[in-house]
Amino acid sequence: MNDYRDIAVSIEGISKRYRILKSLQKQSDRSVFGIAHAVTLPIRRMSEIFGLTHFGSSEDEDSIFWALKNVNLEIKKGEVFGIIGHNGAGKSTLLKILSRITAPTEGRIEIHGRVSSLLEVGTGFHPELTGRENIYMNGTLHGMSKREIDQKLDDIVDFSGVSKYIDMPIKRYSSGMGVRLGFAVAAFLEPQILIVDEVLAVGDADFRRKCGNKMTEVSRDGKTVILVSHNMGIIENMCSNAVVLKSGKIDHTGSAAECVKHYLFESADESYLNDTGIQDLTEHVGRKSKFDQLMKLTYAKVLNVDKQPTFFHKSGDPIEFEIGYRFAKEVRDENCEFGIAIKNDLGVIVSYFSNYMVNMDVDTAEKEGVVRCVVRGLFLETGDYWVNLRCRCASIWSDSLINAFRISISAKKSDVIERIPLSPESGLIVADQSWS
Amino acid sequence: MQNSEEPVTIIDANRRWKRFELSELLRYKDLFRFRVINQYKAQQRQTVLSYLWVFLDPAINILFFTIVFGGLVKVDTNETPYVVFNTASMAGWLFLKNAMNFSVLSLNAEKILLQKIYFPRIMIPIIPVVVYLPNFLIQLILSLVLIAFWGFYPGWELFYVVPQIFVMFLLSAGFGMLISSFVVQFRDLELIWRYFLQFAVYLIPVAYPIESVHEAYQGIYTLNPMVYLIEGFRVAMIGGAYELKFFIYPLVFSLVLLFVGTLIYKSREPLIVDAL
Repeated sequence: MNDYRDIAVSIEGISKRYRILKSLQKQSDRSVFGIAHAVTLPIRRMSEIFGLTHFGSSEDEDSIFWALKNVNLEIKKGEVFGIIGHNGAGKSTLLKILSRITAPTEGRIEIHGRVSSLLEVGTGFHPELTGRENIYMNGTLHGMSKREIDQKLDDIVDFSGVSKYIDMPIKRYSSGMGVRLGFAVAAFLEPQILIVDEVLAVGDADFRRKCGNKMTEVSRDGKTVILVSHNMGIIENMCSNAVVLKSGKIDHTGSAAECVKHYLFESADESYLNDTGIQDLTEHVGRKSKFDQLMKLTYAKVLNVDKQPTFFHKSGDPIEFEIGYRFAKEVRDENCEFGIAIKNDLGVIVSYFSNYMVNMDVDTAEKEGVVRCVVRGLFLETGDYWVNLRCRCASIWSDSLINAFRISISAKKSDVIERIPLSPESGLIVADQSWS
Repeated sequence: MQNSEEPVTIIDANRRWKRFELSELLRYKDLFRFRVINQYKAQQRQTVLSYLWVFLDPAINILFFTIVFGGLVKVDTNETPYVVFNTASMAGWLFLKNAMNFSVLSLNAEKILLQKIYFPRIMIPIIPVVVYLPNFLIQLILSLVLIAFWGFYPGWELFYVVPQIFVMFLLSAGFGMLISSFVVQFRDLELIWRYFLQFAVYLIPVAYPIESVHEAYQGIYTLNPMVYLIEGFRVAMIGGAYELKFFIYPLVFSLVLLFVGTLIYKSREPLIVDAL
């Protein structure tokens, strides 16, 4: 009974390999060897390209990176399928292979039905051309014919809500208007399979609702939607099934709710799972590279009311953050600012603490030291939270870490630490409340 | 509900879409047209002098060659005044130069699009070649007017412009197919290509007549298919003996180049986006 007609997409053993030339990898040595390295670079690159350096084994281990490794999936017709994973887990690579932008290194995919992919709304919009011209441009890019667009033009313009500006060059549009026009074109593509990446995160609330409705409508018509999002709420609400990717492999697959749960709790850092209460920050993946790191954050420690280091806390109890810092060189700025942001699973910053906010100086006279922040009366709803850290020195942000570590908050009354994902209905903050 | 036809797409790492899917190409024919039109429009909108460049480009080139090779160096062009000699081949050379150049660099120019959406990649190097056809027509008429000003009128030979430009079209597309996919991977080739274009004009009879090349080197010199293309183009413009080899040799060369180029392009297609 379960014949091939039910399957929209079948993915068999897909792998994607990227080769990184060794000479292109970072080399920050400034010594004499560094200069020699730079001087011989052209020769070494040439020999690498022509495969002269690896005698026999050109597939050197450290020059190869598997973005996807042996992924097997079946996506049924008419379902909304979610793809979840951290940055670099292989989500985008999978979408790019499915939408034929890039080719897999191994494996086979069978797709039944016309595919449209929305990896970025408004792709191919030309700023010099008018909205109307861009609708035709964008529509044909997605494989529509001019006649098809002629028929749907009025609906597209109507849906986008920018009809007043339709004959104006796109460069005069606000970014929101551009996105709306892009989504409007996409909404009328009428594919049998729609591949979507994060588009719901843009535009105003009203437009987001419109997009959501359109997607539900598409799936109700028996069409398949493949959706990538960082927003666990959207995945849980819209998808029936999902997959969690982790370093290019399938970590978990099953119902969307199950996958969201798995993703939120199993993919946490080791230090979180072992509950050391200390997070090393020296080589952190969440570090933003654009800052000068004149002052670098070295570690973070979270302590509970009994001064015990732990990532697990009770709602409303005092939490102490201890942050280590180190200056790259001698600096005499004793007015440094430290910021701690608490972010929930939906990516919303729930609370932010900074010594500038409360007008308190911290002592950063030493080259290397520690600052402390005690937070009292923070009544967070039960759930897991990410913590972002940043610091500013000599009025320039010098280090910033996204998702530096995570903490878990449980209800004050219960003795057991429950790990329940945040539900949209329960709000963000618990108040000290009494009922009669 | 909708149409019951349900296309099946197979992505296979071992097959790499080497098949040439004509039906798919036909589905995207409107895209090809819109991209040609819009690239033409955009090209004009981005410059202050816009369409004036279509006139200025040949004018500046003719002025330069006439001053340097007609005046300073005194190249012997027999009976024909140097200006006329030079003008007669300019429209052809400029088309060849621009079409080749933008075709070879086309994949780099469409980088963002290529990374975001799938469409038949094969059309990318061909679009720029088509985009320069209208400019060629305008410059052709401009050249004819200029030549007429000096008292030279084209005869029935003008018809030969058609085969010459047709082969130039094939040659440009061939170069684009062959080289563009390598240029995205090795940016050094872009620099080498720029040198090639810069010197190419001196390897063809645009600034000097073909007779002034030493007899001993004529054989090697005419191996370059652009030589006969330009020579034939000038004969068509100002008269002379049109020989069949002006058309046949470049045609065969271009067809082979286009065929080999397309095969290489298709086989490298899956690599293009990763190399960008």
